[in-house]
Amino acid sequence: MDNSQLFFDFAPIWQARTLLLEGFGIAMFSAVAGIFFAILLGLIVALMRLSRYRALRAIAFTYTQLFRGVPLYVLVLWIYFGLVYAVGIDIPRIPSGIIALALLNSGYLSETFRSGILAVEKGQREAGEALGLRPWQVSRFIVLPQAGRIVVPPTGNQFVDAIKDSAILSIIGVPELMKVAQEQANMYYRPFEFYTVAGLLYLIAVIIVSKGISKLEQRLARFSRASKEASSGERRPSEVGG
Amino acid sequence: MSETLLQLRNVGKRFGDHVVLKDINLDIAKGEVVCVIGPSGSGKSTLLRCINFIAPPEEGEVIFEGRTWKRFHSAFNFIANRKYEAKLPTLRAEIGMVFQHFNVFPHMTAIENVVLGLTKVRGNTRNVAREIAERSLRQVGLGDKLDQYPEKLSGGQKQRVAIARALALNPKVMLFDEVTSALDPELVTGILDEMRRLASDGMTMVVVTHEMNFAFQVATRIVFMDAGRIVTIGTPEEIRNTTEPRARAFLSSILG
Amino acid sequence: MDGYQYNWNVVWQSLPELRQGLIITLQVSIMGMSLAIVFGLLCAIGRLSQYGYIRKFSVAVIDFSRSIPLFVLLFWVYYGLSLKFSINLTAFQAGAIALGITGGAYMAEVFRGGINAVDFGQREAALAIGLTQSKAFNLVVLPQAIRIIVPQAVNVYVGLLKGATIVSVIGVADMIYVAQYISLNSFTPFEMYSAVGVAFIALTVSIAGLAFLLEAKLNKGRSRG
Repeated sequence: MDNSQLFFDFAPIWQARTLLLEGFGIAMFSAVAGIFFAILLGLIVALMRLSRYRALRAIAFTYTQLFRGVPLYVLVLWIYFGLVYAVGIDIPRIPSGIIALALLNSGYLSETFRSGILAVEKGQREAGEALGLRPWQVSRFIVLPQAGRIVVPPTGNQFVDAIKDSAILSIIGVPELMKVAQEQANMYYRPFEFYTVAGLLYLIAVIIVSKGISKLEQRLARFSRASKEASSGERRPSEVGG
Repeated sequence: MSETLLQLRNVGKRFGDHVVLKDINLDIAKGEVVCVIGPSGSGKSTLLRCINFIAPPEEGEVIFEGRTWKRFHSAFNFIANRKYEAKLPTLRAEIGMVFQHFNVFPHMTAIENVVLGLTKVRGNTRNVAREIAERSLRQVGLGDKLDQYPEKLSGGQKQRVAIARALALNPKVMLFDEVTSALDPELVTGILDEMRRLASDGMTMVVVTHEMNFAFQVATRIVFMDAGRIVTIGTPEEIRNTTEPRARAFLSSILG
Repeated sequence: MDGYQYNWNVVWQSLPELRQGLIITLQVSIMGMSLAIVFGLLCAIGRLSQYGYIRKFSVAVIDFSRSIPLFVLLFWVYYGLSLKFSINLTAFQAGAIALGITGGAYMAEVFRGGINAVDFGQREAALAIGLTQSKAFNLVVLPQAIRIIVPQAVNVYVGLLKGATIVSVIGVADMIYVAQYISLNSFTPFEMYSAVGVAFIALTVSIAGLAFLLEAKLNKGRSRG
């Protein structure tokens, strides 16, 4: 049957559905893993930036500037191609992509976490100290739980960006959704169809995650004064990278 | 006079070039209620924060129950800094503090606010802590608000949670930092009554306040501060009749 | 692979090409930003429309545009649309359009946020002294909104600049393209990508610095009553 006259030929999409969904799964996995490590790194860097020791603050500041300034595309190429040649570390495709996503997002998240921690009123820390809590207890039981609520919405937005950014990993051959779409588009010579479907899949993922975030935000806002200020949850427009 | 509980010796503090406290000497006996008055910016709140080292004094020392506390800071030896900081909680645990802006923990219910110190500082089990916390909140009239989040409480109720939180740890001295300044006028009396009750129970108290009536009625001694120094100390009677010009000027501007 | 000989000379030797690539990157991003401003303004005006369906449509367009990865948009425009509708787009044009769509969604939010951030009382006060609706907007609301919009627009631009790096994938000879091309021949990807990375960090940090100064300047003498 000749389908070349159809405006939107769904048949090749249907044939490639398992491949597309697998790609979608890998994309989501990369984004989740990337953001997971980004949160860990970002927290460490944020605490370093709030350290009383100048050297730690300087290192953390440089780190933040570095990974907020570098485009993901360059970072991915640098890790996957650059490091092999220069340092001899041969990191496979998917881990390379996850590392790049983690580093890039940790730069942004460290800033988010830092401002979240600073947004907790000074009096809260004082009150904890006055009770006789140890410094780590003040952080653990008083400051971090409140900061946590403040940073939920921006962290969620960062996750959304990581999902979108994961499409870039196709350039180093990570078999995620975009890579699959490219291959299939070339095979069937149906770029419009495949890229539309790929776009829709990303759209669905982003919408679901965004909805989840605002649900979470509402739940947290119910009993916390701290999260009120942040509940506007406005998206930082600087991450258009994906 | 009964035994001395707390002594400040030549305590001084500065923020950069700005001297906030200078040469503060003050002895406080067990059971005393010392009210600190003076114009705003005279260093009253900082004085309180020096006592429990929330804002550690750069000069001088604090002697509490015979133990001397001095600020320590090394620019390079961070292990020593840690050791010093690890000791401070033992001082603070014996000193209760109530703040102007309540500083209740918004992510915890009223009872959780009180339980925190009991479990983490005093090492009580959860059950014991809950019992003590409940009693403590009952005492300040919040028996029916145990599981409320602070957001749902009025300013006066928040301040009561803060008082219960401090008292539950059975402190040897209580510091009150302008605790009624942020309250709506109709709620002030209730909190002041709470403090009167504490004073008559024999609690040692250091109270920074603008409530002159309270100060002159309840205090055993009144400290008048100006520009980071203690200008004069005396019984309410002595302060009322003081000849010190700045204290006179301050009192006449307030009492009219 | 031990004993790798670092060859930073390659970077120095290829500076002219890299510079040429950088100019193309800047051109694509500036074209994209121009489209984003137009597109964003249209969407923002749509969102403020008095007709419900126009508002809903604008919201949908904004959400749609910013939920789809730039990378996907680029391929969709360059390979998908051009083939489907037989439009002959150059890679450069496709890149600018994709950047314009993504950036436009962000700009729409920036415009709206800026206008909303101006205290409602300001507009009321302007109307109260007898200004017309449009004069109240142009003379009172807009000048205040601009102070909020400009620094955020610079942030959007920085994002687009970084996003613009992907146009090399469809063959625009930008800085990455040059770096890839040269490192293929000289086997120096580490050096070339490091150089490109440093160039971008320097660029984005200095633009952010400029934005900061601009913000400080715009906020000077500003005290809200």
